[in-house]
Amino acid sequence: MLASEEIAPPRVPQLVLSGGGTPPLELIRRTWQARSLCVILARKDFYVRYRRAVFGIAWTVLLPGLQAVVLSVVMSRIARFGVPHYAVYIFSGTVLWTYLSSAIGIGGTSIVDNASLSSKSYFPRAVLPLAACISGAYAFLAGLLVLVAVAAIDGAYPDQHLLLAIPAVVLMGLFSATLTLVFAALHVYFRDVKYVISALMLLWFYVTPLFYPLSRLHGWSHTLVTLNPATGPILMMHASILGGHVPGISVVATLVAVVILGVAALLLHSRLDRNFADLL
Amino acid sequence: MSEQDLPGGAIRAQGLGKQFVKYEDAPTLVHGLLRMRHGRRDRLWALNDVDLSIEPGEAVAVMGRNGSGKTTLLSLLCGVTGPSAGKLHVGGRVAPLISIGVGFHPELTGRENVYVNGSILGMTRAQLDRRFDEIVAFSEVEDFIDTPVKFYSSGMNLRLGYAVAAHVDADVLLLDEILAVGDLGFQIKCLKHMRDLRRRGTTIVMVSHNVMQMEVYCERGVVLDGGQRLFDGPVSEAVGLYHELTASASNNDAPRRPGEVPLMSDDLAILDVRAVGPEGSQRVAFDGGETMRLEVDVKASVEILAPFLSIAILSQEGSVVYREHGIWAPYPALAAGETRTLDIEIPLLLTTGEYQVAYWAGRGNPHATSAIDLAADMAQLSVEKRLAFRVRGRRTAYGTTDLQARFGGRVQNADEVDASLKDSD
Repeated sequence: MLASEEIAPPRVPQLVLSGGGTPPLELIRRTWQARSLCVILARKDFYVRYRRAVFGIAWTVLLPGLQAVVLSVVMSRIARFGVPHYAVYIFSGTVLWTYLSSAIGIGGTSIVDNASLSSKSYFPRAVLPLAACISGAYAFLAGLLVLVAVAAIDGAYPDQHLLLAIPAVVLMGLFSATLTLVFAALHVYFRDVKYVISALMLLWFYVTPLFYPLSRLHGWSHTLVTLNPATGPILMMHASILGGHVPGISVVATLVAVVILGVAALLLHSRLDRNFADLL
Repeated sequence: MSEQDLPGGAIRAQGLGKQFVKYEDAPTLVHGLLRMRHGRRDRLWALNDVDLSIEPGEAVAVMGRNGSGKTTLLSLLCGVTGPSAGKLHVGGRVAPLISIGVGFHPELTGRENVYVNGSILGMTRAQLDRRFDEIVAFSEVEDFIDTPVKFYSSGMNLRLGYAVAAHVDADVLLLDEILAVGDLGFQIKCLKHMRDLRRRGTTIVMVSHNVMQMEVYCERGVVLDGGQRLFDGPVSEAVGLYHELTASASNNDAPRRPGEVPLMSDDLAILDVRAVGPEGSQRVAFDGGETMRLEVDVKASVEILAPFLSIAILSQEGSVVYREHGIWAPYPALAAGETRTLDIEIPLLLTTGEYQVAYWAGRGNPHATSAIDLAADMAQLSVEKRLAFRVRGRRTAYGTTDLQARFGGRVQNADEVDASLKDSD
């Protein structure tokens, strides 16, 4: 018998532990049961982060906004990409990009960072990285409102395309959640993961069409950027504000990445869920 | 898995073991990759082949020296970690009171922290809404519930943490050194609360260094040593065994403290020691006010003209409650090679607690003509040893020394008062 942990009929829950790990379906069920914990931790995280700051939650918008301004000023001097509403183009992409990078940056180390929680009481450890993803979503929603306002001021009035923001967010949410789950599990065992994440985000930024249009690329670089799993949601985000074409292959690439990472996350967590505490 | 469900509060452990890998440091990616080739890691069984069966409503004390596996057992019971061997089955919900105040964030208010902490302990929002007022009332921090926790005193912090943990409707309660929480009033409140929980059939598993507390609260004791179950039975026997373990450990490594007496040789070796009660039987527990007779078997390798014993009573914190050299009342001379039992009677005017008696044997100067001569000539002729014992003192006396103050001419006796109240019921 490899592993077991089961819960019996409603009234009396049963905890059965016998080495190995937690069966995947059981883990999913437990994580689902802990969803309210997940939301409460996400809210706490979001709230605590900005409570002492004078500008408070405004920082969630100020940072990607600043990045958009700097990029558009710098890039428009170096290269002419011929993108209308260039600043809005950059801002719409970076808002979603900031979501991805903050979810991975915070969630990827979350199990270790919350050692005081996880070494003393049990809940599925997947809750911690997932809470980081949810917490990032709050900031994203604030950013989205400002984005729409800025776009309107710039003359790009939102129309029915705006609905594309929903699949963009859902897809990016799934992608960052699965990736964060994998990183968080590995980080417990290999603390290098923290630096791997920093390096990855640095390189990744340039192979994602954030400050250049995909149409300007040709050959292998075009293929690389098209197949980048972050590209699909970012292009959808651009399209939701400014209209435009989203290559189906990019969306498929994101979906494939979600499935692969999802399976990896599930295997890792079902094997290690009860072992993380030993290394904290 | 075809497994019969256990009723809430029942615990079954079979051959339970937990192995830890001893890392020199946190593993890194490079180490991880290297290890895959030639994997040699030190492993350590923190808990080894432990069988345990606990029924709903039992209160079990888990004792053992540091590193005996107590904490590992608790971690397994609350599911924080999984076993490496054997099987563990717990019926019902477990509330680990080891996690008091876990997740309390200083920037959040008491109210917000109750919700965060309660969720971590597995309560739903609805349950928390329902029990919120009760939790706050129990914690006695009503006036500060909307103040950030960073402005709380440590006592308030602990009280709020305990209150949340105590209101998770659990079938099994795990307590780790918990009753040192808050002031005396709050401790009593916690103990009463636990008593109520037990009446409702909650199982309690307790780990503490405070043996008295465990003896009062549990009827069953489990002694762990080196990760293995050494004993499982009545708590009084478990406590006795635990004391033997700790006493033998401190005997072995009792450091010789620099004293005013030089250690000359090992000419007056201590062979054995016994703490004996007034009735003549060997004991580790005494009532406050009782007289303990310390019988020390010594063997003289040379002739000792004026042998004496020196004793010190040490409190649990290690401070000296009392010390005296028996140099002015030496025992009769010992011949070379002679073995004899020397004794000291010590009236234990002490309050409830754990104590140690430290003792060594020495020689004085039978030809001394003054007290000063005598002191100048005395020598320690054995290494210092220690013996642990505990005292169940008068319930109303605190501190270490029971001076038996008379209030209106009477020394208080709470037990008599209790008895008379019971009679008048």
